Order: sequence, then C-alpha cells, then structure tokens
Amino acid sequence: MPLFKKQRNDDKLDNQELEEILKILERSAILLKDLIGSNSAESPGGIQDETESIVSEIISNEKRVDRLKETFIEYLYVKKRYLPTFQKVDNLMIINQLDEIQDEIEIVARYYQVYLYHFPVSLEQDIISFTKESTDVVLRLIEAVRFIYLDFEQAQLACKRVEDERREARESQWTLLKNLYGLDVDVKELLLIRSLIRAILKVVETCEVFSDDLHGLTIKYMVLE
Amino acid sequence: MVDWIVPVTIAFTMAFAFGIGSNDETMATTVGTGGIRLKRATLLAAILATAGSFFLSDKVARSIGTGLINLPQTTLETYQPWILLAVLVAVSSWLILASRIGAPVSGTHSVVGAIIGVAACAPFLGSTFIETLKLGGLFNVILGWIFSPLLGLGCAILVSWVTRKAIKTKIRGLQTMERFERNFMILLVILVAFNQLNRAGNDAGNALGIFHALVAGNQVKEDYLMLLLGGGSISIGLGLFIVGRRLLKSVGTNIIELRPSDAFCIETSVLIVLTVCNLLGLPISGSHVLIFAIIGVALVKREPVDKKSLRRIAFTWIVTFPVTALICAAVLIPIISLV
Repeated sequence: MPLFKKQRNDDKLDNQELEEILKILERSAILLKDLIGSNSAESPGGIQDETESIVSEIISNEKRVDRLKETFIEYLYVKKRYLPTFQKVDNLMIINQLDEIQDEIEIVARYYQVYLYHFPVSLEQDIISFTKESTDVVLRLIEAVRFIYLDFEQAQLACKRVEDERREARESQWTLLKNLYGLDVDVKELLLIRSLIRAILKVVETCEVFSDDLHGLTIKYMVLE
Repeated sequence: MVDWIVPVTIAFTMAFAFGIGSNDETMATTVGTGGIRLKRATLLAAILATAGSFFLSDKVARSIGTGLINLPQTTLETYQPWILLAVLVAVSSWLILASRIGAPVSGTHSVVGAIIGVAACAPFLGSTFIETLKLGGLFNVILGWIFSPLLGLGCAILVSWVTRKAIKTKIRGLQTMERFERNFMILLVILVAFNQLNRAGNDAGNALGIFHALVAGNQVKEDYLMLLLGGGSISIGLGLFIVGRRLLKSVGTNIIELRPSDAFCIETSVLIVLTVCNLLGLPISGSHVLIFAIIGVALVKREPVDKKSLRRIAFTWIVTFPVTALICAAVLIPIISLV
C-alpha cells in the first residue's frame, strides 16, 4: 500500500481527459496567434487557405473539448465518487471554465469564418502584439491549471503570472483601440475590427475570472490541508 | 407458564434482532464519503451483519438484562417470561422507531431503559424500585452512557490530528490529495467491513442470547437452536436492509461532509475506543462513539456541524432511557394485573 510511501513523481496529470483538454487548449491558443498573424502577409489566395484551415481546426478543437468534458464529468461522478461534493464541484468548475475559454477562442475563429480580415498596415503590429499577449494569458492559465493538480504553491505563482499577462494584454488593447479610432477607415471595417478586438479581449477576461477562481482554490486547499 | 409465550417470545426476539439491524450505522461513513452507494452499502452491511451475527455472536450471547435485575425467585418464576416479553416489545419498538426517523440509538441503553421500566413496576411484583435494580450494573451502564460520547470525541480529535499532520507535507496538489483519498477509501472499506462483522457479532448477542436462554431453560429443543440463531441473524440483516438505509444516510451525510480520510479517522477511533472499553469491561455505545467521533473530526477540520441533525440525535440519546422504560412499564402493568 503506497499510502505513506513516496508518491509518484508528479509532472503529468493522472487524468487523460484533462491532460488532453489542456493540450488542445494550448494548441488553440497558438492557432489563435497564427490566425491573426496569417492575415498580415500580402498574398490573398494563400491567406484564405491558411485561415480556413486554422479556423476549421479551432472549431474542431472546440468539439473535441466538449466530448472530453463529458467524459471527464462522467469520470468525476462515477470513479471519483469518494471525493467530497465541494471537491467534485471544484473539478467541475475547472473543466467548465476550460471549455468556456475554448468556446471564446472559437468565437474569434468564427469571426474569420464570416469575414476575412485584412488589417490596415499601420494597425498590423498592434493587433499581432495584442493577440500574442492575449494568447500568453491562455498559456499561463494552462500552467496554473496544471499546477493546481500538481503543486498548490506553484499554482499560486502561476495565477500571479496570469494576472500580470492579463494586465499587459489589456494595456495593449487600449493602445490598439486608440490607434484604430485614429485611423481613417471604413465604418463597417472599423466595427468589424472592433468586434474582433472585443472577442479576443473576452478570451482574456474569461481567463482572468478563471485565474481568480483558481487562486481562491489554491488558498482554500492550502488552508484545508 | 402459558404455552404460547415461547413462540411469542421468539417472534419478539426476531423483532428485537430486526431492530438491532435497523439501527446499525456502522457502514454510514462509507455512504457519507460516497465510496459505496447507499443501496450497495446497505446490501453489503446486511450480508456482513448476518454473517457476523451468526458466526461471531456465540461468545457474547447473553440473556437480556440479567446483570441488572434483582427480583425474588418466586416472582421471577411467575413473571420472567412476561418481563422478557415487555422488555423485548419496548426495545424492538424503540429501535425500529428511532431507525425510521434516522436517529442512531444504543441497543444496550434501550435494554437498560426497559429494565428501569421493569423496576418501576416492582411494587406490583412484591418488591421496590431500588431493590429490583442491581445498582452496580446500572452504574456501569450510566458510566458508559456518559463516557461513550466523550471517548469518541477525544479519540477522534487525536486520530484526526495525527493523521492530518502525517499527510500534510505529502499533499502538494489536488492530484496527490485525490490519490491519498483513494488509498484511504480502500483502507476504510476494509476497516468498516471488519467493524461491521465485529459489531454485528457483539450487538446480536443481546437478541440471540435469548434463544440460548430458551434452550437452557428447556423451553425450546436444542435441535432448533441453530435454526433460531439463523433466523435471528437474518432478521438483523433484514432490519439493516429494509429500515437501516435511512440511518446510514442520515449519519453518513447529514452531520458533516466526509472525505475518505475523515471517515478513516472516525472508524479507527471507533475501533480503538470499542476495543479498549471491551477490554476494560465498560459497557459502551458504538453508536454514540461513532457520532461523537464524527463531531471530533469536524472540530479538527474546523468545519460546521449540522446542528439540526445533531439536535435530533442528542434528543434520542437522552430520551432512550425514559421512552423504553415507559413502553416497558405500559406493556408490563396490564399483564401483571391479568396474570
């Protein structure tokens, strides 16, 4: 009985579904960055093909996360029955929030499905940098989720990093908006770019809420134990 | 001796066994942690209780209340079957009623309450209340009544504190926490199964001892003893399966939210307290040790306890003596006036 023996080296999550969801979300975040970056080049034919393939991968990722979430919930309430209700609820919250972030990334991709963006050249770098900072928030959050299962203290630090990245992303958003409103562009285009920025920022905001919840959980479990 | 008194006594002894089973909350912690679902836990508890009663009760089987009652020999010869019947009616009805409302009560305390009821009828039996009761035995029981909760509480606080200290440094994240809980769950099921067998064997002695007494008094042929013991054991299992589930749910889930590690501390405390008290010869209530062990763990965890459930349990704990005494006296007085 390994109860009081040294536990396995914790660098990997025991739960396959959760591990898979985190990998998919990580991939989606990278795809989101590529998606925004893909429209900065000046080759219309190539752009469309690449964009479509990225968009369809993000959409399929969202569906995969949904399926994995269902399996995880089933696992939680069947195989982890012995866990107290509050711990099941916490696990459920984590999985639901991860799914929500994937949904928000999908919404950004859907914008590209309905409208193929061509950013004004003067705005290109701002939007690329804003997207990079936003996806960094997602990546730091994935780290925090991984750590809450592996190491509460590390999870606390990871949540702090999410907070820092989120602040930078928000700052970038204001710079981007300021530059956007200063441009002489078509109203429809302005509204569409504005909507895209809002959608990307929604990913960041969802991560922020989730990170706050995770931070609360780390404190709760550290006090509990 | 009226001929029909023997089958009636046997029937009420079966009811008493049914009551003991219905008020057996040993498996409550496994239900509370969610490790075993209520239906399965009830079935498993019923099987273990039946087996424990049949195979382990022989050594502890004893005539009900003989250590507490002191009546003149002539009175005993006339009224003993009726006294036994009244005690059985009082105890079985109270145990089943308490189980129906989800309150754990002590079988031993119920018997003592009923014996007090017999003592209250002593003037009708040519004796006095004080003379009828063996005060030494009663003092022991009252000591157990007071000490059961205190020992359960104290031991659980100690066990829980030590366990938490031992695992605190080893739990780093949710994953290790879950692994620990899973391991505690396995230990818990083994421990509870052992406790269930042991406790059923012990508690069943109260009821099945009557069958031994009937055989010893030549009121029943020895050939039928195994059949009666088997019937009594099955009654205990049936009581647990039919009525006991409510109590398992009430004790396991209503007082605090249990984790397998908490439940393990509770069951370990129960095992320690019962073993030590058995060795010291102190009559103690397993139900009260368990309830207060749950409270002890809640105190260490600084977790709020459901006061409503606790009030109901405390109420039944206090009223067990007077209620069984009243029922017993209410049954016995009309019988005495008729015999």
